[in-house]
Amino acid sequence: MQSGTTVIRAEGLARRYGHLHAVSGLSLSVDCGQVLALLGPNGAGKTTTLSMLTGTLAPHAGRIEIAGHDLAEAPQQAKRSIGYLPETPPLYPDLTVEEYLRFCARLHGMNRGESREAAAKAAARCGLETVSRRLIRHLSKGYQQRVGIAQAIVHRPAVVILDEPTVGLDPVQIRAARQLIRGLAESAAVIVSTHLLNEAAELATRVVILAHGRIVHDTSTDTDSQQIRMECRRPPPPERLAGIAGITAARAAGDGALVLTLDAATDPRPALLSAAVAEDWGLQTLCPVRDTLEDTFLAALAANPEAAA
Amino acid sequence: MRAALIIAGRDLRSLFRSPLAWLLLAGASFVIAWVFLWFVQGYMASAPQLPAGTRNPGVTALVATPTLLWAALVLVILTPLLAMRLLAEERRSGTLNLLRAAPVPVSAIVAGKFLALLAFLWLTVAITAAMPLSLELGSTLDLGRLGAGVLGLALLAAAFGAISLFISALTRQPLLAAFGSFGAIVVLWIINMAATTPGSASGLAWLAFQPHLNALLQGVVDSADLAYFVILTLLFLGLSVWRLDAERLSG
Repeated sequence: MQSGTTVIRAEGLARRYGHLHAVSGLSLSVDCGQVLALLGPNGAGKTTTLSMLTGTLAPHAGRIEIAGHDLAEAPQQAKRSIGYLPETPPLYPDLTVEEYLRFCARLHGMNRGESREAAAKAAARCGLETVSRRLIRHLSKGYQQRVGIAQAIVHRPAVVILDEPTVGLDPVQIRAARQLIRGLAESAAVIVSTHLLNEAAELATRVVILAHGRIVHDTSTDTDSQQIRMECRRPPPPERLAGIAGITAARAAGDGALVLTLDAATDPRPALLSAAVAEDWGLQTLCPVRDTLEDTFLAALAANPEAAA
Repeated sequence: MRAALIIAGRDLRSLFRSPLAWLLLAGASFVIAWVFLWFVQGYMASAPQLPAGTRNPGVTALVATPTLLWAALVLVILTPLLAMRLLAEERRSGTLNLLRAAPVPVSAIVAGKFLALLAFLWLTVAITAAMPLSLELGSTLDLGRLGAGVLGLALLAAAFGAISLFISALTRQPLLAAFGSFGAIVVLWIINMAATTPGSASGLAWLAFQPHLNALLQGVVDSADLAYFVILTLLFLGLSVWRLDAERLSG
């Protein structure tokens, strides 16, 4: 699939459980090449949304298109392009890893020969070669989780949807899994639900925050732009800073602090420091801004008080 | 159809890897063999007193038919125990989501599960049929009657399987599914007892397994009896599909 092609198109999705509106009026388009992190507090509707996008749960309203096929009208064609890891990895403990992956590949329409090759490839990508002949029931939780990820990618889908993929992995495995997920985006659109903000920040090219079944925030995390925070005793006006080469924007953040958005092409720090000395700003600190996602997350929830209720 | 076979193959592989399947198969074979030998012994003891010629009921009626009837009773217990894992277990362990997210229609999921169950049950039926068939070595069997009886047993197994599969689709507790299926099969087995009391509807009697199975065991192949088993099987398979589909909408 070509990078940039829209492969997931959801419009006006709604889903109720009794009187509870788990998801309402949710629209979302995801392009190939994107890694979208779906964030939200517990009960925000993340799993419901993912279940609807994978066709395991029917929406009460709205429509979903996967790789150009309507999920309700042509479910078989649409589902061919979906790889899905649910919250609980759907594993058959009595099968070996290889048998299981081949079964999954064949379910998605591959013949015996293709499935053998695809299973071997998926196992290799997920670091499962050494355990491919062992029964799944005898594997550790970390390996089982990786088998779950392998299952979702074995048929090379254009859409990969992973519900909390790094739960149960140790820090080394988490790092490997994130690397793997980023790699998937070369040929697919990836949606990852997580409640770990640092995971979203590290993995995603786009962050969507759900609250109360609605999208309350949707931004691309532009990896090219970077922010630094500057604190001065006698801060200059922000317009002065925006004039320095390499700084694309500047805004006051209170208490003499300024947040500067940098342009990756030019390093503005030498110019900034000479200006600080020449104009006697009383520069105290200059540090990169981290964890802006946490601020975004809390701000998005605070702006939607009904979500917190 | 292809997807159904893939699902059935996976199911059988898992089934035969668990001790449960082997234990059930061994247990069922043991009980049926015991009953068979008991009938053979009874026949040997009474053979000298039996009338000669055409008035002799014969070894098929005295050994084969009651053995098949006992095998049917064994199926009443065996089928719910085998079927309880089918959908209830998949739902509990979350693997049902794998099948649901795959490009496979719900009917193929149900068909796959049913075929796996049927393969196992028909293996039991085949083992059962082999026992009276071995009498052909030393006596003359009424092969037509035996064949009709085996056909009846095979159709009964399919109906039991479809009912148990449907009940397995209703719950996520395998044990609950087993008890539910057992209850449903027993009710359908004895429902004609109520019908024999005066004043009750004869439709109730038609619903019961027993008269239809008995006709086939007597060697009478009536298309109405065959239709009964086929309709019952298809009805419960259809209900299973409907149930799984409804769950996607309401669950």
